[in-house]
Amino acid sequence: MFQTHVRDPRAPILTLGYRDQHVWGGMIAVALWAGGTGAGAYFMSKILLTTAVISSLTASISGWVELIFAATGIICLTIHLGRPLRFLNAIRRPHTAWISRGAIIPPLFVLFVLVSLIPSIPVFSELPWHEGTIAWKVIVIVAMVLAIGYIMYTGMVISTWNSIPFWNTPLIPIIFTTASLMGGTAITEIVMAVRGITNPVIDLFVIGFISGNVLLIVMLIIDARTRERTVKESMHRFLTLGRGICFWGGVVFIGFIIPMTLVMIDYWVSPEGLTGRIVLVIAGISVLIGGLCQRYCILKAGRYRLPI
Amino acid sequence: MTRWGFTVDLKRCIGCYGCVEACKTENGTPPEIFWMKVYKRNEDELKASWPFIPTRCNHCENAPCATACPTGATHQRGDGIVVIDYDQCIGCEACIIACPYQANSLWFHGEGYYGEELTPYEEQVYDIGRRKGTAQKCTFCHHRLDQGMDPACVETCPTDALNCGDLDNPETQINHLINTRDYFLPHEELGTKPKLFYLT
Repeated sequence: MFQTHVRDPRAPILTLGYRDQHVWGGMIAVALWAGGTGAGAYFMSKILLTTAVISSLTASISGWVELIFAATGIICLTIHLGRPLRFLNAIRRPHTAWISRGAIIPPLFVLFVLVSLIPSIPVFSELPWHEGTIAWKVIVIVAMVLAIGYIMYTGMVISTWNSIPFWNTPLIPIIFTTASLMGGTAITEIVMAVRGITNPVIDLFVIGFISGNVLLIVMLIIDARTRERTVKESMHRFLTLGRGICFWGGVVFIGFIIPMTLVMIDYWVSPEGLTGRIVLVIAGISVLIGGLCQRYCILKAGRYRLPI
Repeated sequence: MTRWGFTVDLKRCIGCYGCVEACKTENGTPPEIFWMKVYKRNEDELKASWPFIPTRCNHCENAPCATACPTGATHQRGDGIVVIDYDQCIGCEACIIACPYQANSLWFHGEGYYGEELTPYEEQVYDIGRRKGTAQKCTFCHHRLDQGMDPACVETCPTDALNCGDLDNPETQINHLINTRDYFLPHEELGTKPKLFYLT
C-alpha cells in the first residue's frame, strides 16, 4: 500500500545562493493591509471629526467599517498560524517580540473602537459613555493611541529582522504608516461619497498621502541601489513581481495614478451629483487596492542573505 | 557550566551528505525538512578550496529566533543550545523569518516519503501530534549529548570535518582547533554571536 509513490530519499543538492522568503505571503499581506488601513482610518476619522471636516454620523459609519478592517487583520493573522488554537500563547513576550505586541495591541484596539461605537446604535444611545461625554473622549483617546500602535506594528513586525535586508530599513515602517493613513483617508472619502457629501479637505489629504507614499517608494528604490546585493535582488523582485503587474499595475497605476487623477478632477472640476460620488468611490477603492498590492510586493520581495 | 560549540572544517568536507542523512535518521524529519544542510558552491567557484558548506542552526548566543518568538517556545538552555518547545509554539513563523541562517522550518503535515499516507514508522518519528504546524530546527542532538554521545552528524562525518565540544573548557578539541586554525563566524557582523566556527 505504500509502494505507489516513493520519494527520492537523497538529500537535495543546494547551491549557495540568495533565497526568497516564502513563509509570509498573501495572508499576511491582507492582515497587515486590513489592520493598518482600519487603524489608519480610525485615526484619520477622529482627526477629521475633531477639526469638523466630517460629521459625527460620518465618523460613526466609517468607525464600523474600520472595525471590520481591523478585525479582518486579526482574523487573517490567526488563520495564518500553524497552530491557531494556541493564539493566546502569542501575548507572552511583548518585551522582545513584535508578534506579541501585535497580538496585544490590535485586539485591544478593536475592543476600544467597539466600545466607543456601541452608543452610536440607537438602542444603546443612553449608555453612560455616549458621544460627547468625558468617558467617551477617554475611550477615543485610548483607541487613537492603540491605532498608532497598530499602524506602527504593521511596519515594525517586518522591518526589525536583519535576516532580510530589504525589510530592514526605517523606510519600511514609514511607508506602511503613510500607506495606512492613505488607505484610512480613502475609507472616509468612500463613506462620505456614499452618503452624498463631499469636502475638498479630504481630497487634499488623499493627494498629500499619495504624494508622500510615492516619494517614499522612490526613496526605497534609490536607497536599494546603494545597498548590498541581496537588497538589489529584492528590489528587482519588488519591481517585477508577477511580470511587473503587481507593482506597475497594482501599486503605481491602480494605487497612485488612478486615484490621484480622479481626486484632482474632484478637487478642481468638482463634478456634481452621482458622477462626483462615483469618481470618489472609484478613487477610494483604487487607493485600497494599491495599498494591498504595495504590502504584497514588499512582503514577497523579501530575500534572505546568504546563510554564511 | 558547559557551553556547546561546533566547528566545520571546510577543507575537509567532501560533500558526501552523510551528516544530512544522519540528522534525518536520528531526528526523524519529514521530506523537505532538513535540519542539517550542505550547500554546494556555484560551478565557477568549485575550484575554491572549500566547495561544500555544511550549515545548521548556529545556536547563537544572541539568538534572533528566540528574540522574535512571541511565546517563549524558542529558548536557550543553560548550556547554550537553542531549542523549540513544540507544545508552546504557535507556528507564526517569526523564527523562520528572523534567522539569518535559514535554519528553521515548519511542517504542515504534507506527504511522507511513501505517499500521502504515512507509514507507521513515519508517524512515530515525525512526532506529528507535537510537531505538526510548529517550527523545528537542529537541537544539537541534545538527547545524545545528555548521554555523553556526539551529535549524529559529528559521529557520522567520515572525514572528521565536523566537531563539537565545550567552548568553556580549554582542554577540548574544539578549543584546540579554534586556537590553532583560521576560522570565521557566519555573519558575525549581525551581532548574533553564533557558536559555529568555520575552519578555513
